[in-house]
Formats: sequence, structure tokens, C-alpha cells
Amino acid sequence: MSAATVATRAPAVTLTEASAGRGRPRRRRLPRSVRRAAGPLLLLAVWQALGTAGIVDDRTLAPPVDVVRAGWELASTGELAQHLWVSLRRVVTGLAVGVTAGVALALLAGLFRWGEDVLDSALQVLRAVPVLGLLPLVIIWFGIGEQPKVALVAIGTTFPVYVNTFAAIRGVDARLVEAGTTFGLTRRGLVREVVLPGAVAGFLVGLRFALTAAWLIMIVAEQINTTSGLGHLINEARVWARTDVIVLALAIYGLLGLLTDALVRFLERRLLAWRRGLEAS
Amino acid sequence: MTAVGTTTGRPSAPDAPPAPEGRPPAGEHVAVARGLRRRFGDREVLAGVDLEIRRDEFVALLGRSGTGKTTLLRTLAGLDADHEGSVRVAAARSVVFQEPRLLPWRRVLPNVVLGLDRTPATLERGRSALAEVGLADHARAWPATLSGGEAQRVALARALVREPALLLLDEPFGALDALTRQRMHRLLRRLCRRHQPGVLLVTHDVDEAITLADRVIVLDGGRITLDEPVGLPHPRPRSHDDVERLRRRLLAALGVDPTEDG
Ligand SMILES: Nc1ncnc2c1ncn2[C@@H]1O[C@H](COP(=O)(O)OP(=O)(O)OP(=O)(O)O)[C@@H](O)[C@H]1O
Ligand SMILES: [Mg+2]
Repeated sequence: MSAATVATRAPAVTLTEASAGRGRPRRRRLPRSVRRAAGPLLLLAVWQALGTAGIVDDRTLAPPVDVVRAGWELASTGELAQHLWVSLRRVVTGLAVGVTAGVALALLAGLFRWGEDVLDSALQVLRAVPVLGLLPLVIIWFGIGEQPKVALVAIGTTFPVYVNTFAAIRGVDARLVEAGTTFGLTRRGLVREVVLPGAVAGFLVGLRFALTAAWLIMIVAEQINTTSGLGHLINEARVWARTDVIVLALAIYGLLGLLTDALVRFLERRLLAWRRGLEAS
Repeated sequence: MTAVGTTTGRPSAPDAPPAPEGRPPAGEHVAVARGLRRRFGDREVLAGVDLEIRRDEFVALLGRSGTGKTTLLRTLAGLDADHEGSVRVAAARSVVFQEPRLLPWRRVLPNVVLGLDRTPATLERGRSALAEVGLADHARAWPATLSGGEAQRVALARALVREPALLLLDEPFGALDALTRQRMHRLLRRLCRRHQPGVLLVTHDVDEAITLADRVIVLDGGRITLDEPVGLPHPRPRSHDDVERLRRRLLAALGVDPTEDG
């Protein structure tokens, strides 16, 4: 059927591009990134306008321009970089410990029956305790230096990684395990070829939860008994009612959250390339 | 894990010369089941099955849904440990399941040689197995990008690369369209002529059984109720009188009224 035969019939049938969404050309529209940026920009504009017009005063919420200025000042003295670095180091250290522990526990509980018996029920109970509730205990145990913050992040990130990785290991498609068995895979071969690759997706879900939890824990932990870090910056700013600095620190937390999310998505693209048949190279 | 209680390695007659590479010589049994019983709860799905399959023999196993065909095949594959009776099968055996069951996180070629060593020679054998099923170009493809028929051909290549003495096929073409299925039939016949495994093909499809098999058996009520050689020359068009008679007999054995087509 050619377009001509369609056109000669009345009423005319219009043929349109069948591929919806991704494949559709959008030449005449604004790029998606521009459209998506419009919302936040509008929000910023309203916020600035409210501040400039004096409807919202500086002590309640500083306008964006002041926040940027505060950022510039703190950055030029090197203070901001120092606090940022301290926070980042705490989160990364805590995450490294927590993710390692979570994966190790999930492997033990997921691959060995005795591991599940010994570990899983205990971990499920501990998981129910809110991590931030441990703050006073952790301070008693570790004092007020770096250790309590790192420990809290480690504890708080162990559980999401454990729970999701364990579930993924247990949820691996039994039919694939069976196929592997008939093709001569040993137990070790099954773990390497079937179970672990199949559990990667679940691990990444856990990792994403862990990253969110890590920043959340850090925000709270750093506002108590600290002399450095973004949380300390916020705490100090609160004393002087510097809402511009508070908002600045919050914005940085937000950016860090986005950044870590992008990191997980990068890992997903790399490790789960087989899902959509993308080239992994 | 693979070894089943009564399932032993290669069966061979006492006076037979030892077979090379674990493959019994032609005519030798590659699977022997005696008084095989399997129950799930109160239900006895297999109630005393006796079955023998020889090398180079293509056996089609017919039966209504839920009669225990898959259960029988899984027992022969060594995937079921809870049966009674004696089951002896060749050590060199491969399975093609109803679904391709490829590892989605491995490309096609590693899937084909799964569980084998990764020497260049093995990879080369994997490549030629892929070429045999017409998928030489897909060695580096992800399973997710294959069509249903292609994926099932990869599964066939994965089974054949092991040079099985016993090839177990559980409705391998059930999910394919009629045209693809016909192509797969031709491919399977060609491959079986070349590699000469003993084959057990589980199927619902009487015509598929007639097209492919040297021998047809029907499982009903936990027992084998019909077991007869086909003995017709290939090809076997339905217009042929003997083919049509066999078809009616099989349908009757399955409890289908042959006058009502389908
Ligand atoms: N693991 C199991 N637990 C309980 N019952 C089972 C199990 N496996 C199979 N059965 C039962 O055994 C019977 C035979 O199942 P089987 O899968 O062997 O049938 P089948 O002949 O292959 O059927 P189909 O042609 O539909 O594939 C069914 O009634 C099924 O419900
Ligand atoms: Mg079945």
C-alpha cells in the first residue's frame, strides 16, 4: 500500500509515525532539558521576587541571590571546600564499611543455609531499630570524633544493602539454576554464573537506598557535637540566623544526592547492559 | 546435585566394548526406566513407567496436559530426586526446555558453552554449533535481543555442543509460530541425523510427533498406554494414508475424537 493510494481515497487517511515516545522526532519543540529546567527556574524566580519585595525577610528565608553570594564567600575562603571534604569523607568511609558488610552478610545468609539461620532473623530484628535512634549510644561508644558519624552511616547503609541483596540472591530464577545444573555447573559455577549475576540488580537497588540513607544520617549526625562538615556549617548558621548559609548547605546536600544517584545509574548502565541489550563496552 | 539416587552413568551391556568418550555405541540404550513411580502428595503422577531409549532413536512422548510428561523428562534429566524405581541414563545428556532458559547476563556464545571449559577449542566448537543452527552472526548478541525462535535455536546449540548421547526435549517448539516450528523440525531432523543422539521429545502435538519420531509413546494415567514404531518413510505428509491412520490412532489414544479435527 503506497501513500498515494491512501491519499486518493476520501475521507483522507493521514499516516503518522508509528513509533511513540523515544523514536519520535521533536524538531519543532523545545529540547526536553529546557522544558524540564523551566519548573525549577520559575520556582527560583518566585522565591527571589518574594525576598526582593520584602514579603519574606532574610531571617525567615534568604533569597537565591544571597545564597549564591554566601556560597561565593565561603568558597573563596576555602571554608566550604574544607567542610564539604570532611562530610564527603565521612559518607564515603561509612558507605564503604556499610556496603561491604551488607554484601558480605547477604552472601553468607543467601548462599548458606546455616548463614540464613544464624544471621537473617537477627538482622531483621536489628533492621527495625531506627538508625538515628542509635545516636546517643554511638556517642557513648565512640565519643565525639569522626568515628560515631562514620559508624552511624555504616550501620544505616548495611541494612538496605543486606536486605535487597539477600532477597535478590534468594529470588534468582530457579529455572536458570536448574538449566545450569543440567549443563554441568558445579555449586561454585552456579553461584558465579547464575546466582551472583542475577543478584546484581537487587544489590543496586539496595545501594541506591543506602546512598540516600547515608546523606540523611550525615545531615543529622553532623549537627550534633561537630566542629566541621556541612552539618556543622548549618548548625553554626542557625546560631547566627544565617538562612542563606543554611539554604546553601541544604542545596549542596541536594546536589550530592543527585550526584550519587547519577553514580548508581551509571553503574546500572554498566552492569545491567544485558537488560536492554545495550553494548557494555 | 546432578546425580540422582538410582540414576547411574552410562548404561552398557556387560559384553559390550567400552564406548569412546562416554558415548554408548549405536543401538545401545541411552535411557532405561523400570517401574518408575513419582507422586506429588496423594497424586501418583507416574504409576510404574517402563521406558527404553536407544542411541539414534527419536522417541516422541505424547500425552494430555498434566499427565506427567515433564515429570518423566525431568527424572531422566536427573532433576528429580524423589522417584521410586530404577532409572539409568547416559552421563552425556542435554536438555532443551520449553523456554530457552538462557542466562540473560551472558552473551550467546558463553551461553552455548556454559559449564564447559573456556579453551579456544571449546569456544570454536560453540561457534560451529551456533553456525549449525544458523546463528553464527549472533555469537556476541545478548539473549534479550533474540527472537523466540532464535533463542530456542541457541538453546538447541547449547544442548548439541555437548555431543549428548541422550537429548531430552520438553516441548521445545511449543511457543513458536507454525512456520518457525516447521523450520525447527527440519533443523532438528538434520542435526539429529548428524549427531545421532537418542532423543526424547515431549510434545502435545500429534503432527509434530509423526513428522519427527521413529517411535511414538503415549503417557496416560501414569502409564505408557501406547508404544509403537512409526516406520514410515520421510517426508510424512498428512495426505498419506498410513500417516493419517497413525494420526487417528494417536488421537484416539489421547482421548481425542479424530473425526473432530483438532
Ligand atoms: N513440583 C510439583 N509439585 C506438585 N505437583 C506437581 C509438581 N510438578 C508437577 N506436578 C503435578 O504433576 C502433574 C504432571 O505435571 P507435568 O508437568 O509432568 O505435566 P505435563 O504432562 O508435562 O503437562 P503439560 O503438557 O501441560 O506440560 C500435574 O498435575 C502437576 O500439577
Ligand atoms: Mg510439561
